[in-house]
Amino acid sequence: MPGVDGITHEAAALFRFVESIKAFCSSQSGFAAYYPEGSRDFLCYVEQLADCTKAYLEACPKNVPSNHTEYRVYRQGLRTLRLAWHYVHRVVKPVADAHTLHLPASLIDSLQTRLRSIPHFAGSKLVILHIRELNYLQVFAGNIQRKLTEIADLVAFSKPFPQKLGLIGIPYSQAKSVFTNSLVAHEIGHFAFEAMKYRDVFAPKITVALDTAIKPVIDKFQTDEARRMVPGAITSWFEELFCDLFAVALVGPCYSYAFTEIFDLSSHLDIDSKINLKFAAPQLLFNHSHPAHFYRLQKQAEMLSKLGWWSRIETSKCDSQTILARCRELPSSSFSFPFSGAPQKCFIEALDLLMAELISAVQECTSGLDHGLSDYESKLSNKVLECFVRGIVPSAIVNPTSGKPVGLVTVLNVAYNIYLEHLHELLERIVGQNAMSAKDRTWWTEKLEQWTLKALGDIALISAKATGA
Amino acid sequence: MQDAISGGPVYENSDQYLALALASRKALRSLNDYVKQGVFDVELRKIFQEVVSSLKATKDNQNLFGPIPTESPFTNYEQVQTLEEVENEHQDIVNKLSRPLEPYSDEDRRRSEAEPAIEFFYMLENRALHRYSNQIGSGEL
Repeated sequence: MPGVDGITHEAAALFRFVESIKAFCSSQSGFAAYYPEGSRDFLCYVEQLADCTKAYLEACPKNVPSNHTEYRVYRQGLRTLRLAWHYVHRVVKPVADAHTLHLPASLIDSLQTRLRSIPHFAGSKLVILHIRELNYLQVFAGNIQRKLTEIADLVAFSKPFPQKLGLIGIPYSQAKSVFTNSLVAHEIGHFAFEAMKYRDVFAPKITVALDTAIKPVIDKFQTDEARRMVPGAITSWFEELFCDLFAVALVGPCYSYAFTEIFDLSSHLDIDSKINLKFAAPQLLFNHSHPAHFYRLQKQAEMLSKLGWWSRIETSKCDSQTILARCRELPSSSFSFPFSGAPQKCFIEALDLLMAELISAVQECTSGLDHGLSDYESKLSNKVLECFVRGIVPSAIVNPTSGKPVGLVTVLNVAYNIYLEHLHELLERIVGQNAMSAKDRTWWTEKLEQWTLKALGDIALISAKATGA
Repeated sequence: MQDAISGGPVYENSDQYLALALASRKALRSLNDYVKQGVFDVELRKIFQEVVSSLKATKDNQNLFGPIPTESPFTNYEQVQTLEEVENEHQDIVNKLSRPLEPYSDEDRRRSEAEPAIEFFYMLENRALHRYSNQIGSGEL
């Protein structure tokens, strides 16, 4: 029958495509033990969704409408389903690649445990994806959830998408790194932003900021298109800044140091330890999706100060701290924006109007979180430091007051501090090692990261035993 | 942290088009239920409202910026641009989507009642799929 044959063929082709994705998910079951819980949930859901899609496709040729318009609409539905499965195809392999043998597993587990200690995010799970870019991204778990839910709706699959899954992409090459992976805290921030539905919550506030700060100078925008892109840009800047501040609250200053390192920001310091603004111009420029790097550092420094970290780190002489301090001092007139013709101060004014809301949002969604500063400020951090520089894994250091093992924030920040400032102390203790050699430093940095991972793993076990988990 | 530019697991802008296509498909399914069973469901009402409010925001003289991006799949820049293009080919669609579909007992009358919305969402899905496949390169070798 004309029309039906074409749909039958298309349904069969899509059936085969979906089956290949399902087979890939199923073949990972032998690796089940190596997958974090969240990844297992995710792959299992995709597998079941594939089965339901196949059943839907099997029935497709029987339901072809004879009415011309309905036929056209029905056939296009198959195309939508196919392209939606293209999307699933792109996500499944990076999840499957990121099993625990290719992950800083104890760091991810510790971050997940820390996230779950926040009442809003109790029971959350992280799904890690390996990505090719040397970058980090939260794969907009809400987007994935919505798309998979839409597919489920299309094919009448009633099982709900696993709740509270945060999908986070990390560069495959950094799978064993601890320090760079402090950036995962920012991506967890995106998950938190979505989970709290802050895009909807803050839309009215962003409207007010636009009306107050930008509307009066709207005639300065050179094109209508530019004008129409402003709400998206401000919304995106708001979210990115939220995630930075969330990350600082979650893991402390090591996030800012990792941020500085991945974007090579301390390279903009001159010999006098000041920023040469002329040559650092790209770091002062916002783009349509992200605030300027130096603006982000400025806001992170302010948050570190607000949380009480600043007085603890400001004496550090490392370049990562220096650039943070220099960015904190930058006047707002230093920054520039991607909308030609529009006065830059209107954007700063809009952001200033939103900043209090942003900080409140971070405080709201991290309420109940111990920022880890008291542990860090106590003698415990010195003990952790002494262990590390002697090549000892600091697994058994316990807070005498609480009786709890030293936490993630202290271990991570002390390790980062050694990496930035005290690596030579470690190397000087080892025969034949040169603190000025990039090769030797790399070797012992990796060792330091391995000790950190081991410490985090041990601490998790001790904590679980103590709580009977 | 930054957008995946290309080759990564997600492509931020193209995702907006896929979200738009899927939302349009959802509307088309509900419209089909309306035609066949006379049901005008809550989800369809919500989609109509979101489309109308997004298109109105683009024309509102008091609102010089257009809609603020939210969780709705009709509010991001790419989505609004596509919505406006399709709206230009479907005059009066804002008015048609602004009122609920009549609960006629006769299927032919319901089909005729739903026809402008079906044409609109069909075209919206079509345009979004086209842009999505162009961006992810599925049409290229």
